[in-house]
Amino acid sequence: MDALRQLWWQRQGRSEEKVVQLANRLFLDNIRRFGRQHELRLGTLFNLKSGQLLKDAALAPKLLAKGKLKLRQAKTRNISEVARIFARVEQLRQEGGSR
Amino acid sequence: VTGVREALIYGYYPGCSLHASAKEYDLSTRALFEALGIGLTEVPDWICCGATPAHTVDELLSLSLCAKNLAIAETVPGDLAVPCASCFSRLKTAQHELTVDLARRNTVARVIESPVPLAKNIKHPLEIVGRDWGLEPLTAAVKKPLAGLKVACYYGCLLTRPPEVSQLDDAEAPTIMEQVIEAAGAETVSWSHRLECCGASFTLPRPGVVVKLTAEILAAAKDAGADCLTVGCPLCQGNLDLRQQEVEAQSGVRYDLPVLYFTQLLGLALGLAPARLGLSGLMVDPLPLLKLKGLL
Repeated sequence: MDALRQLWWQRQGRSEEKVVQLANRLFLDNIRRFGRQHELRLGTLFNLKSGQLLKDAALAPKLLAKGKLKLRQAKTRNISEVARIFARVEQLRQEGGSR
Repeated sequence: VTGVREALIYGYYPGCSLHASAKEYDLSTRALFEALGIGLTEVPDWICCGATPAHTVDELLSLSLCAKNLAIAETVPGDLAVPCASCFSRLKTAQHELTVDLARRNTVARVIESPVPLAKNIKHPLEIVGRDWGLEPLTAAVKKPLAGLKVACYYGCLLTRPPEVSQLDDAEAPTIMEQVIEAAGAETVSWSHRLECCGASFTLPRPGVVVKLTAEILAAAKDAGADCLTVGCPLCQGNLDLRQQEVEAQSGVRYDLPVLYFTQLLGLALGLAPARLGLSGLMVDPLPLLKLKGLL
Protein backbone atom coordinates (compact mmCIF):
# COMPACT_ATOMS: atom_id res chain seq x y z
CA MET A 1 0.00 0.00 0.00
CA ASP A 2 2.81 2.39 0.88
CA ALA A 3 4.46 1.70 -2.49
CA LEU A 4 1.34 2.84 -4.35
CA ARG A 5 1.02 5.94 -2.16
CA GLN A 6 4.68 6.77 -2.76
CA LEU A 7 4.40 6.44 -6.54
CA TRP A 8 1.37 8.70 -6.57
CA TRP A 9 3.03 11.19 -4.26
CA GLN A 10 6.10 11.43 -6.49
CA ARG A 11 3.93 12.08 -9.52
CA GLN A 12 1.97 14.66 -7.51
CA GLY A 13 -1.16 13.07 -8.87
CA ARG A 14 -4.66 14.24 -8.08
CA SER A 15 -5.98 12.37 -5.09
CA GLU A 16 -9.48 11.72 -3.84
CA GLU A 17 -7.89 12.03 -0.40
CA LYS A 18 -6.73 15.62 -0.80
CA VAL A 19 -6.95 16.36 2.89
CA VAL A 20 -4.73 13.40 3.76
CA GLN A 21 -2.16 14.52 1.18
CA LEU A 22 -2.35 18.05 2.58
CA ALA A 23 -1.78 16.79 6.12
CA ASN A 24 1.21 14.74 4.96
CA ARG A 25 2.70 17.69 3.09
CA LEU A 26 2.32 20.09 6.03
CA PHE A 27 3.72 17.51 8.45
CA LEU A 28 6.85 17.00 6.36
CA ASP A 29 7.23 20.74 5.80
CA ASN A 30 7.31 21.25 9.56
CA ILE A 31 10.13 18.72 9.88
CA ARG A 32 12.03 20.47 7.10
CA ARG A 33 11.61 23.85 8.80
CA PHE A 34 12.09 22.96 12.45
CA GLY A 35 13.56 19.45 12.58
CA ARG A 36 10.63 18.50 14.78
CA GLN A 37 6.87 18.64 14.64
CA HIS A 38 5.07 21.87 15.49
CA GLU A 39 1.55 20.71 16.31
CA LEU A 40 -0.09 24.13 16.60
CA ARG A 41 1.31 25.24 13.25
CA LEU A 42 0.33 21.94 11.68
CA GLY A 43 -3.28 22.18 12.85
CA THR A 44 -3.64 25.89 12.04
CA LEU A 45 -2.23 25.60 8.52
CA PHE A 46 -4.29 22.49 7.87
CA ASN A 47 -7.50 24.31 8.76
CA LEU A 48 -6.58 27.33 6.64
CA LYS A 49 -5.48 25.37 3.58
CA SER A 50 -8.26 22.79 3.74
CA GLY A 51 -10.91 25.47 4.14
CA GLN A 52 -12.18 23.88 7.35
CA LEU A 53 -11.56 26.96 9.44
CA LEU A 54 -13.52 25.82 12.48
CA LYS A 55 -12.36 22.20 12.50
CA ASP A 56 -11.58 21.21 16.10
CA ALA A 57 -12.01 24.85 17.14
CA ALA A 58 -13.52 23.72 20.43
CA LEU A 59 -10.48 21.59 21.23
CA ALA A 60 -7.83 24.25 20.75
CA PRO A 61 -8.61 26.29 23.91
CA LYS A 62 -8.62 23.11 26.02
CA LEU A 63 -5.29 22.02 24.59
CA LEU A 64 -3.79 25.45 25.15
CA ALA A 65 -5.15 25.63 28.70
CA LYS A 66 -3.48 22.33 29.53
CA GLY A 67 -0.22 23.44 27.95
CA LYS A 68 -0.46 20.75 25.29
CA LEU A 69 0.20 23.07 22.37
CA LYS A 70 3.46 24.93 22.08
CA LEU A 71 3.01 28.41 20.70
CA ARG A 72 6.53 28.36 19.37
CA GLN A 73 8.71 25.52 18.14
CA ALA A 74 12.43 26.20 18.27
CA LYS A 75 14.51 24.77 15.45
CA THR A 76 16.82 21.92 16.37
CA ARG A 77 20.47 22.87 16.40
CA ASN A 78 21.19 20.51 13.53
CA ILE A 79 18.52 21.98 11.27
CA SER A 80 21.05 22.41 8.46
CA GLU A 81 21.65 18.65 8.48
CA VAL A 82 17.91 18.06 8.31
CA ALA A 83 17.70 20.37 5.31
CA ARG A 84 20.51 18.44 3.61
CA ILE A 85 18.68 15.16 4.19
CA PHE A 86 15.57 16.52 2.47
CA ALA A 87 17.66 17.97 -0.38
CA ARG A 88 19.60 14.77 -1.01
CA VAL A 89 16.47 12.61 -0.93
CA GLU A 90 14.92 14.93 -3.50
CA GLN A 91 18.08 14.89 -5.60
CA LEU A 92 18.23 11.10 -5.56
CA ARG A 93 14.61 10.88 -6.54
CA GLN A 94 15.17 13.15 -9.53
CA GLU A 95 18.17 11.06 -10.53
CA GLY A 96 16.05 7.92 -10.20
CA GLY A 97 18.30 6.53 -7.47
CA SER A 98 16.03 6.80 -4.46
CA ARG A 99 15.32 3.07 -4.47
CA VAL B 1 14.81 1.09 45.34
CA THR B 2 18.26 2.09 44.11
CA GLY B 3 21.35 0.34 45.33
CA VAL B 4 19.80 -3.12 45.40
CA ARG B 5 20.67 -4.02 41.85
CA GLU B 6 22.95 -3.14 38.99
CA ALA B 7 22.23 0.32 37.62
CA LEU B 8 20.20 0.48 34.42
CA ILE B 9 20.91 3.33 32.03
CA TYR B 10 19.27 4.19 28.74
CA GLY B 11 19.36 6.77 26.02
CA TYR B 12 16.02 8.51 25.63
CA TYR B 13 14.27 9.45 22.40
CA PRO B 14 11.03 11.20 23.48
CA GLY B 15 9.78 12.16 20.03
CA CYS B 16 7.78 15.27 19.15
CA SER B 17 4.51 14.45 20.94
CA LEU B 18 6.18 13.99 24.32
CA HIS B 19 7.50 17.54 24.12
CA ALA B 20 4.03 18.96 23.49
CA SER B 21 0.60 17.29 23.39
CA ALA B 22 1.79 14.26 25.38
CA LYS B 23 4.05 16.04 27.83
CA GLU B 24 2.49 14.11 30.73
CA TYR B 25 3.84 10.90 29.18
CA ASP B 26 7.31 12.43 29.18
CA LEU B 27 6.86 13.71 32.72
CA SER B 28 5.59 10.40 34.09
CA THR B 29 8.21 8.32 32.26
CA ARG B 30 11.01 10.43 33.70
CA ALA B 31 9.46 10.38 37.19
CA LEU B 32 8.89 6.61 37.10
CA PHE B 33 12.40 5.86 35.88
CA GLU B 34 13.89 8.17 38.48
CA ALA B 35 11.89 6.44 41.21
CA LEU B 36 13.15 3.07 40.02
CA GLY B 37 16.71 4.32 39.80
CA ILE B 38 16.82 3.89 36.02
CA GLY B 39 19.02 6.45 34.27
CA LEU B 40 17.77 8.31 31.20
CA THR B 41 19.88 10.53 28.96
CA GLU B 42 17.94 12.37 26.27
CA VAL B 43 19.49 12.04 22.82
CA PRO B 44 20.84 15.52 22.04
CA ASP B 45 19.32 17.32 19.07
CA TRP B 46 17.16 14.39 18.01
CA ILE B 47 14.92 15.07 15.04
CA CYS B 48 11.42 13.93 14.12
CA CYS B 49 11.26 10.29 13.00
CA GLY B 50 8.92 11.26 10.16
CA ALA B 51 6.09 9.20 11.65
CA THR B 52 3.29 8.02 9.35
CA PRO B 53 3.42 10.89 6.82
CA ALA B 54 7.03 10.18 5.87
CA HIS B 55 6.77 6.44 5.38
CA THR B 56 3.51 6.65 3.48
CA VAL B 57 4.86 9.03 0.87
CA ASP B 58 8.65 8.71 0.81
CA GLU B 59 10.36 5.61 2.12
CA LEU B 60 13.89 6.92 1.64
CA LEU B 61 13.09 10.06 3.60
CA SER B 62 11.53 7.99 6.39
CA LEU B 63 14.52 5.65 6.60
CA SER B 64 16.97 8.56 6.46
CA LEU B 65 15.31 10.55 9.25
CA CYS B 66 15.34 7.45 11.45
CA ALA B 67 18.92 6.56 10.50
CA LYS B 68 20.03 10.07 11.42
CA ASN B 69 18.47 9.60 14.85
CA LEU B 70 20.17 6.23 15.25
CA ALA B 71 23.48 7.90 14.42
CA ILE B 72 22.92 10.68 16.98
CA ALA B 73 21.79 8.11 19.56
CA GLU B 74 25.25 6.54 19.43
CA THR B 75 26.44 9.51 21.48
CA VAL B 76 24.49 8.44 24.57
CA PRO B 77 25.12 5.29 26.61
CA GLY B 78 22.84 2.30 26.95
CA ASP B 79 19.94 0.91 24.97
CA LEU B 80 17.50 3.43 23.53
CA ALA B 81 14.21 3.98 25.36
CA VAL B 82 11.41 5.12 23.01
CA PRO B 83 8.01 5.68 24.69
CA CYS B 84 6.02 6.74 21.61
CA ALA B 85 4.67 3.67 19.80
CA SER B 86 4.93 5.41 16.44
CA CYS B 87 8.56 6.52 16.95
CA PHE B 88 9.32 3.06 18.38
CA SER B 89 7.86 1.42 15.29
CA ARG B 90 9.56 3.76 12.80
CA LEU B 91 13.00 3.51 14.39
CA LYS B 92 12.77 -0.26 14.69
CA THR B 93 11.46 -0.57 11.13
CA ALA B 94 14.39 1.46 9.80
CA GLN B 95 16.82 -0.61 11.83
CA HIS B 96 15.26 -3.83 10.53
CA GLU B 97 15.07 -2.80 6.88
CA LEU B 98 18.56 -1.34 6.77
CA THR B 99 19.94 -4.48 8.38
CA VAL B 100 18.51 -6.79 5.75
CA ASP B 101 18.98 -4.50 2.71
CA LEU B 102 22.62 -3.52 2.22
CA ALA B 103 22.00 -1.51 -0.95
CA ARG B 104 19.37 0.53 0.84
CA ARG B 105 21.70 1.04 3.78
CA ASN B 106 24.39 2.42 1.46
CA THR B 107 21.91 4.84 -0.11
CA VAL B 108 20.77 6.04 3.32
CA ALA B 109 24.40 6.44 4.41
CA ARG B 110 24.89 8.76 1.42
CA VAL B 111 21.84 10.77 2.44
CA ILE B 112 22.86 11.22 6.07
CA GLU B 113 26.57 11.50 5.20
CA SER B 114 27.63 8.92 7.76
CA PRO B 115 27.54 5.18 8.31
CA VAL B 116 24.25 3.89 9.70
CA PRO B 117 24.76 2.35 13.14
CA LEU B 118 22.35 -0.53 13.63
CA ALA B 119 23.49 -2.26 16.81
CA LYS B 120 21.69 -0.28 19.49
CA ASN B 121 18.75 -2.02 21.14
CA ILE B 122 15.56 0.03 20.83
CA LYS B 123 13.14 -0.61 23.67
CA HIS B 124 9.71 0.55 24.69
CA PRO B 125 9.49 1.50 28.40
CA LEU B 126 7.04 -1.39 28.86
CA GLU B 127 9.83 -3.89 28.23
CA ILE B 128 12.35 -1.87 30.22
CA VAL B 129 10.13 -1.89 33.30
CA GLY B 130 8.60 -5.33 32.77
CA ARG B 131 11.72 -7.22 31.71
CA ASP B 132 14.95 -5.29 32.28
CA TRP B 133 13.81 -4.02 35.66
CA GLY B 134 11.61 -7.04 36.22
CA LEU B 135 8.16 -7.78 37.55
CA GLU B 136 9.21 -9.12 40.94
CA PRO B 137 11.33 -6.08 41.83
CA LEU B 138 8.54 -3.88 40.51
CA THR B 139 6.01 -5.58 42.79
CA ALA B 140 8.42 -5.15 45.67
CA ALA B 141 8.81 -1.44 44.90
CA VAL B 142 5.05 -0.78 45.00
CA LYS B 143 4.07 1.38 47.96
CA LYS B 144 0.41 2.05 47.15
CA PRO B 145 -1.07 -0.93 45.31
CA LEU B 146 -3.78 0.02 42.82
CA ALA B 147 -6.20 -2.34 44.53
CA GLY B 148 -9.75 -2.31 43.22
CA LEU B 149 -8.92 -0.49 40.01
CA LYS B 150 -10.10 -2.32 36.88
CA VAL B 151 -7.89 -1.41 33.94
CA ALA B 152 -8.32 -2.08 30.22
CA CYS B 153 -4.84 -2.35 28.70
CA TYR B 154 -4.85 -0.95 25.19
CA TYR B 155 -1.93 -1.75 22.86
CA GLY B 156 -3.18 -0.32 19.58
CA CYS B 157 -1.48 -1.26 16.33
CA LEU B 158 2.17 -0.43 16.55
CA LEU B 159 3.50 -1.72 19.85
CA THR B 160 3.44 -5.35 18.75
CA ARG B 161 3.19 -5.23 14.97
CA PRO B 162 4.73 -6.19 12.67
CA PRO B 163 6.12 -8.85 15.00
CA GLU B 164 9.45 -9.35 13.20
CA VAL B 165 10.12 -5.64 13.72
CA SER B 166 8.57 -4.91 17.10
CA GLN B 167 9.65 -8.02 19.00
CA LEU B 168 7.95 -6.56 22.05
CA ASP B 169 5.59 -9.44 22.71
CA ASP B 170 3.24 -11.86 20.98
CA ALA B 171 1.70 -9.79 18.19
CA GLU B 172 -1.84 -11.09 18.59
CA ALA B 173 -1.94 -12.01 22.28
CA PRO B 174 0.46 -9.74 24.15
CA THR B 175 0.48 -9.75 27.94
CA ILE B 176 3.34 -7.46 28.93
CA MET B 177 1.12 -4.46 29.72
CA GLU B 178 -1.25 -6.58 31.80
CA GLN B 179 1.68 -8.07 33.68
CA VAL B 180 3.13 -4.66 34.49
CA ILE B 181 -0.22 -3.22 35.56
CA GLU B 182 -1.03 -6.26 37.68
CA ALA B 183 2.39 -5.97 39.33
CA ALA B 184 1.19 -2.54 40.46
CA GLY B 185 -1.77 -4.17 42.19
CA ALA B 186 -4.51 -3.33 39.71
CA GLU B 187 -6.92 -5.75 38.08
CA THR B 188 -6.85 -5.98 34.29
CA VAL B 189 -9.99 -6.79 32.34
CA SER B 190 -10.30 -9.23 29.47
CA TRP B 191 -11.67 -7.38 26.48
CA SER B 192 -12.00 -7.44 22.72
CA HIS B 193 -10.34 -4.27 21.41
CA ARG B 194 -6.84 -4.33 22.89
CA LEU B 195 -5.19 -4.40 19.46
CA GLU B 196 -7.68 -2.51 17.33
CA CYS B 197 -6.70 0.71 15.57
CA CYS B 198 -7.75 4.06 17.07
CA GLY B 199 -7.31 5.94 13.78
CA ALA B 200 -3.94 7.32 14.82
CA SER B 201 -2.75 10.21 12.63
CA PHE B 202 -6.12 10.43 10.87
CA THR B 203 -7.06 12.66 13.79
CA LEU B 204 -5.95 15.63 11.69
CA PRO B 205 -7.34 14.97 8.20
CA ARG B 206 -10.16 12.53 8.97
CA PRO B 207 -11.33 12.98 12.57
CA GLY B 208 -14.61 11.25 11.73
CA VAL B 209 -12.69 7.99 11.25
CA VAL B 210 -11.06 8.44 14.64
CA VAL B 211 -14.36 9.17 16.37
CA LYS B 212 -15.91 6.01 14.90
CA LEU B 213 -12.98 3.77 15.86
CA THR B 214 -12.49 5.21 19.33
CA ALA B 215 -16.22 4.90 20.01
CA GLU B 216 -15.92 1.14 19.43
CA ILE B 217 -12.86 0.88 21.67
CA LEU B 218 -14.43 2.89 24.50
CA ALA B 219 -17.64 0.88 24.27
CA ALA B 220 -15.73 -2.40 24.43
CA ALA B 221 -13.73 -1.27 27.46
CA LYS B 222 -16.87 -0.11 29.24
CA ASP B 223 -18.67 -3.36 28.44
CA ALA B 224 -15.76 -5.29 29.94
CA GLY B 225 -16.23 -3.42 33.20
CA ALA B 226 -13.12 -1.26 33.03
CA ASP B 227 -12.80 1.82 35.24
CA CYS B 228 -10.15 3.29 32.97
CA LEU B 229 -7.86 2.53 30.05
CA THR B 230 -4.11 2.50 30.03
CA VAL B 231 -1.89 3.01 26.99
CA GLY B 232 1.75 3.25 25.90
CA CYS B 233 1.27 5.53 22.90
CA PRO B 234 0.64 9.29 22.73
CA LEU B 235 -1.46 9.03 19.57
CA CYS B 236 -3.74 6.39 21.08
CA GLN B 237 -4.01 8.37 24.30
CA GLY B 238 -4.84 11.57 22.44
CA ASN B 239 -7.52 9.97 20.33
CA LEU B 240 -9.19 8.09 23.18
CA ASP B 241 -8.97 10.95 25.67
CA LEU B 242 -9.22 14.11 23.60
CA ARG B 243 -11.99 12.83 21.34
CA GLN B 244 -13.99 11.13 24.11
CA GLN B 245 -16.32 14.06 24.66
CA GLU B 246 -17.01 14.17 20.91
CA VAL B 247 -17.71 10.44 20.90
CA GLU B 248 -20.11 10.87 23.80
CA ALA B 249 -21.91 13.75 22.09
CA GLN B 250 -22.37 11.75 18.89
CA SER B 251 -23.33 8.44 20.50
CA GLY B 252 -25.34 9.77 23.40
CA VAL B 253 -23.45 7.38 25.65
CA ARG B 254 -21.50 8.63 28.65
CA TYR B 255 -18.25 6.69 28.97
CA ASP B 256 -16.29 8.79 31.46
CA LEU B 257 -13.25 6.57 31.05
CA PRO B 258 -9.95 8.18 32.01
CA VAL B 259 -7.11 7.19 29.68
CA LEU B 260 -3.86 7.06 31.60
CA TYR B 261 -0.37 6.27 30.42
CA PHE B 262 0.90 3.09 32.04
CA THR B 263 3.76 5.16 33.43
CA GLN B 264 1.23 7.29 35.32
CA LEU B 265 -0.42 4.25 36.89
CA LEU B 266 2.92 2.75 37.87
CA GLY B 267 4.04 6.09 39.27
CA LEU B 268 0.93 6.25 41.44
CA ALA B 269 1.64 2.73 42.70
CA LEU B 270 5.17 3.79 43.60
CA GLY B 271 3.70 6.61 45.67
CA LEU B 272 4.58 9.49 43.38
CA ALA B 273 2.47 12.65 43.65
CA PRO B 274 -0.11 13.26 40.87
CA ALA B 275 1.61 16.52 39.93
CA ARG B 276 4.84 14.66 39.13
CA LEU B 277 2.89 12.37 36.82
CA GLY B 278 1.02 15.06 34.89
CA LEU B 279 -2.42 13.73 35.81
CA SER B 280 -3.92 17.20 35.41
CA GLY B 281 -2.92 17.14 31.74
CA LEU B 282 -5.50 14.49 30.90
CA MET B 283 -8.78 15.61 29.37
CA VAL B 284 -10.97 13.05 31.15
CA ASP B 285 -10.08 13.83 34.75
CA PRO B 286 -8.86 10.66 36.51
CA LEU B 287 -8.85 12.19 40.00
CA PRO B 288 -12.52 11.47 40.88
CA LEU B 289 -12.03 7.79 39.97
CA LEU B 290 -8.75 7.53 41.87
CA LYS B 291 -10.31 9.16 44.94
CA LEU B 292 -13.36 6.90 44.71
CA LYS B 293 -11.05 3.88 44.73
CA GLY B 294 -9.11 5.27 47.66
CA LEU B 295 -5.92 5.59 45.64
CA LEU B 296 -5.35 9.29 46.35
